[in-house]
Amino acid sequence: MFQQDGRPKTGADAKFKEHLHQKSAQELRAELDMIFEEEARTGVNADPALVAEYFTAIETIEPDDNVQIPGDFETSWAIFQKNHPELFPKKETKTRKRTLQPFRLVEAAVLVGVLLVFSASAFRWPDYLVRWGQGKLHLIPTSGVMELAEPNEEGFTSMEDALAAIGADDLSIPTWIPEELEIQTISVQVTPAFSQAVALYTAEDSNVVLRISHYHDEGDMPDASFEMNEGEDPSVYIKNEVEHILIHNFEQLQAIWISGNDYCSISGNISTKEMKRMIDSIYGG
Amino acid sequence: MKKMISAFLAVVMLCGSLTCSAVEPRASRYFSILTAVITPQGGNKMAVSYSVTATGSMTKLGAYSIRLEEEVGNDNWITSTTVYGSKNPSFYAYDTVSHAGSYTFTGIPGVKYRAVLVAYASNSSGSEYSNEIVSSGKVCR
Repeated sequence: MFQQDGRPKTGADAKFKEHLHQKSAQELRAELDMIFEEEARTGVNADPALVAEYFTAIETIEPDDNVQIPGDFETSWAIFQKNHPELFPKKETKTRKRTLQPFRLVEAAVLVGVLLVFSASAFRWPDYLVRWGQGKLHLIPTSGVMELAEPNEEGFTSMEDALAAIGADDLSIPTWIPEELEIQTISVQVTPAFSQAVALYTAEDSNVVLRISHYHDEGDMPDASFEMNEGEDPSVYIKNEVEHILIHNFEQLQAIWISGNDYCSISGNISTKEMKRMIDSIYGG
Repeated sequence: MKKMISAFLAVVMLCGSLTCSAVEPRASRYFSILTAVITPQGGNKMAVSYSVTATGSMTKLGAYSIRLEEEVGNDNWITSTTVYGSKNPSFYAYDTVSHAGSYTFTGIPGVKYRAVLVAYASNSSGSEYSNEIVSSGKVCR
């Protein structure tokens, strides 16, 4: 049926085309493979027109993006390579090692060192969330619950809501409280001289009160009295250029500071470290 | 031994920094911060506003009494009247950690008044009356 170059013998074109139409795509591929094998064995190139006839027939039977009608040598060669991978063993590719730049190595070493030092000093890791962002390690203390699950009778879920109600929504307040605490109540009280928002955060054996008194007139800021233990002088904790007075009243610690027309205080059964952390959180620390 | 200090925040604001000075030593298991201010409202009216913040939730919290004083000489004060929480239910709040309230009275124009607050708190452990909290003096107008 075929000449040596794979072409059908003269006068047999019609029969050849009929042959192509009677075969399945799989059978045609098998025959095409035989042609290519013969080509490789004898060194005689197969007739491109014949090959094209096979591809056309296969494409007609089974349209496939992977089967292309060769229009030029490059296309045919690519198809041939794809269909006969065993004839073209892949070159061994070298594995690419990912190397750290020197400054990254230094960063990593410092990080490991910091972690070791903190661990050795009984640092309370559960108090912190470790986050990686913008190429830096961030230690973020985990906070207690500062928002009610549902609005209370006054419609407040957080101290921010209460501050908005008394016109002190520009005031920054702590965004962190000790992890064991959970907000219990939020209330607002109004007097002729000031409006006051108070939040109570409680735990099993401790509580913290955050109180903000927003004075309508700066000249009405009061002479405030607060309780403190004898023998202890008030200490001042300066953060963000604001003086925060720290005093002990029995086992409770109080912080008092002024921001504009707002007279602010935190009091509760918390440590000085926790109080300072609360104060720091006011200023994004 | 106990000790209580007052922070003269009005002066502080003028000075631009927060300071405090000792007046009457005392610590409390009931009270944490107490304030009292008096403000002229116009029309001969004066308002006393106070705030009582406790160390925890109290079954009863507020103003036991407010004594009104007027100045009759240089820093010489005499009592004009005293009002009590027992006669003014709004002076107290219940089951709360903080309470703020006020009392308005008619004064004499040109006379300087001040208020003296005594707070009260009670819970399941007991009760306590605070020391006297004295407001700054303001002239009635």
